[in-house]
Amino acid sequence: MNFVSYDGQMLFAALMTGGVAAYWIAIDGVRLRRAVVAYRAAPGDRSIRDRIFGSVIGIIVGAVGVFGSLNYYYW
Amino acid sequence: MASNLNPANAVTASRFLTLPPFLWAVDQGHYQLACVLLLVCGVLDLFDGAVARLFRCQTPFGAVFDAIADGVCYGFAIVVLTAYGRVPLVPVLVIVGLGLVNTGLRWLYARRAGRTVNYQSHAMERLVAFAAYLGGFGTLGFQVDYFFWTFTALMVVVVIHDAKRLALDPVPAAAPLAAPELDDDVGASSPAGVGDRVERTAEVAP
Repeated sequence: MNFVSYDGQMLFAALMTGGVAAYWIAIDGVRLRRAVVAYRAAPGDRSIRDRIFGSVIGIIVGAVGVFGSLNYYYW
Repeated sequence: MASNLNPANAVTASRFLTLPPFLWAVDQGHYQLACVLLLVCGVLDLFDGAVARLFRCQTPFGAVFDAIADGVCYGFAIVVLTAYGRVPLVPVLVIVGLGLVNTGLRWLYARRAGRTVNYQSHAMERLVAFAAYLGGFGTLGFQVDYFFWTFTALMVVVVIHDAKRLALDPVPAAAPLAAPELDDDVGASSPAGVGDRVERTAEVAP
């Protein structure tokens, strides 16, 4: 039971992954910037520090997704 | 306080209905159908947070139930795909082991807090969203080794980071239900919608 061809399947996976990952980088980039500004206003706040760490991990995850998608087609 | 028998928890519970057909689809080799079922499960994950806000039925149990549903659904998918040889065994064993460690630390945190509380880890929320994608990568056979090993490395880092906060750092006081989160300022939840309900209910006393 296939809905699309194998090539279509891989294209779908690459577009979904790369697209969401790029969006993810943008969103977490904004969140990171805001969290850093908040942390400067309240140094040592653990919850803000956790948000910064979360955003950094989010950006890394996004970069992994973009690289994985590009890697499939170009390298 | 809203009842635990509410529309949002019903949507969360309905995610379990995708698991038997997922197992059947993988068993029969219908991998595209299996991927669609995972997508349905992910969409329901987005939907339950919206329903909770719409009907104002956020509860501490709902936050924990949502996290449990994430673990069960995505964990089930990964274990099934491993059993059928679609994904590598070693990273899956490491991921499951770290997941159990994390669950134990969360239980310890709830004991220290002395109330129903779902520890909020922004980094782990990103990884849970990533885990949802791992199932998709496994079913479609897309860059499987690369994504599973990368996920494993990131999970090691996040679990080590969270372990300190869960086991040693002071437990924050309970906050009001509608306390605004800075994340919401962006105008969107995390890309996979993970943690929406957790963010608003994470530190609510029962």
